[in-house]
Amino acid sequence: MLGFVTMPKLSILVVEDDPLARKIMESHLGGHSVEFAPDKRTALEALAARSHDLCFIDLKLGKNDDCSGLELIPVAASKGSYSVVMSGHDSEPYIDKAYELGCNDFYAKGNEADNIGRVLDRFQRKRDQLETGRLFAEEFVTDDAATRASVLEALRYAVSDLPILLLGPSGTGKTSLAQIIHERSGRDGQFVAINCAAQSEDLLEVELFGCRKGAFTGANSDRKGKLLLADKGTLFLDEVGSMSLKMQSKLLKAIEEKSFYPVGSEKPETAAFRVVTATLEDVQSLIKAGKMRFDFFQRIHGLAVTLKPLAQRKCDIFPLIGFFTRGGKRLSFTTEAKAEILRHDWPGNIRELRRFIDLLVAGNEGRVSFETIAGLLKSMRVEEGAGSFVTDEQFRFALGQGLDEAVDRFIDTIIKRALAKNEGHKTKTLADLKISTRLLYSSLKRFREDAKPEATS
Amino acid sequence: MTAAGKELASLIHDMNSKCGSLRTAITLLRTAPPEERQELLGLMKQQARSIAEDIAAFEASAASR
Repeated sequence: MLGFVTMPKLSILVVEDDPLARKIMESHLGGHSVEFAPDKRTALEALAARSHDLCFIDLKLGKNDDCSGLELIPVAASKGSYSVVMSGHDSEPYIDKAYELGCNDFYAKGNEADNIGRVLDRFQRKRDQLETGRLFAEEFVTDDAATRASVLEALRYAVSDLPILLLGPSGTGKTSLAQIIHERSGRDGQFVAINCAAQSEDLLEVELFGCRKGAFTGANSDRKGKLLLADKGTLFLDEVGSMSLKMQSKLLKAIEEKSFYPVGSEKPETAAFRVVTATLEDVQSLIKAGKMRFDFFQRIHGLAVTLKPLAQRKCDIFPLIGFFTRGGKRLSFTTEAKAEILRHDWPGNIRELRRFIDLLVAGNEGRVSFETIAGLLKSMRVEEGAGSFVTDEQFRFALGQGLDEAVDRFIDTIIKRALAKNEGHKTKTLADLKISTRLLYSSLKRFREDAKPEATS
Repeated sequence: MTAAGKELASLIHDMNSKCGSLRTAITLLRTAPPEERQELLGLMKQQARSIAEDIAAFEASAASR
């Protein structure tokens, strides 16, 4: 059977009175869900009862019929179907009339093999354009070309089983993107997320694999793990870089065999889930340091997608502010206020911006001044530092990887950021941070950073 | 357009459609599995009969005018 099975399965209505022509359409639309209507009455019933992605409509439906197919065009259009007129009538008046009534496409019968393929391509292109516009206006708000390209690249593989690894700093939208991938995957199961850094190793094992009643003190009942809950769905492992080698090994086996043992059980469970993972860490460094198994990495890394920090896509700040305030109180900003918002680096990325906007909207009206913005940013910095020099994320990292690793990571992040601010000049970086050359170079060696050659010594 | 003209236009349209379907069906015959080939041949015979009936009906109508 011929078919266009490389595109998603479409719901198609074919209105055609000729049995041979219906058979031909059936052959050329293999792989899609196709419904046939031999006359206008049946077609109207089908259009009323169900929605269809496309409607192929023959103009003349039966002997002595006066092109009653034309009447179906506005009905299909009102239901949001992409209507395609196929006719032996390919004279201009009929074509004009069909388009006037709202049809999206028209072809003369006789060359179905080529025509149907082209129609489906045009439909898919149009749908992709509409989808993309809606996606970046409502689901993953970004005007940044590189970020859009990354998101679209990830979504190209949404309907496949390919494991996807999302990289980028905290608060850049990795979880949102994972959810969007799942929603577009066509999978029947749930989206099940777990933060691997938020649990101790023992708890993580129970969370992932489940447990049997009595397996350990406190296991008062059987418990389903995330792997089972994600059956036929998507398992999202956030902060996968913090997972221990032992857990990586167990999970690798479960991913490969689609079978695992809950803690304390001798009976295996099976689950077919798609894996999406995320980390803010440099994965190659983790592998090199022996913190991530290479075989585990290969298993979770069919495609890697990197999301840039908000500081590198400041064009997204005001679209995001518009999105966060949609339907609620809207603020306007003085020119100086806007400049101050753009000047800030937003180290907490979109999460930080969201919190900032929530606070701003709650406490302000009308036109927002530079002073208000500067004051709020300062108070947020003081608040985040109050009582703790360490963020929750850093604390979890230290718990997972050990304090030495966490300190190295902290040092490397500060140095990298200072070098970026100083455009790679090491001398200025040493002076700004008041550190030794030895510390700088040991950090650079860890990250294999290629700093710019010094302009002056 | 006269009644005869409309009848002729209708015949031409139907011939175009039905012959077009026959042409396309022939290309499918080459690759169709046996059961489907049987089905296609049956529908093609039906179509050929329908074409003959349409032409006969047109001739009869033209002769009666």
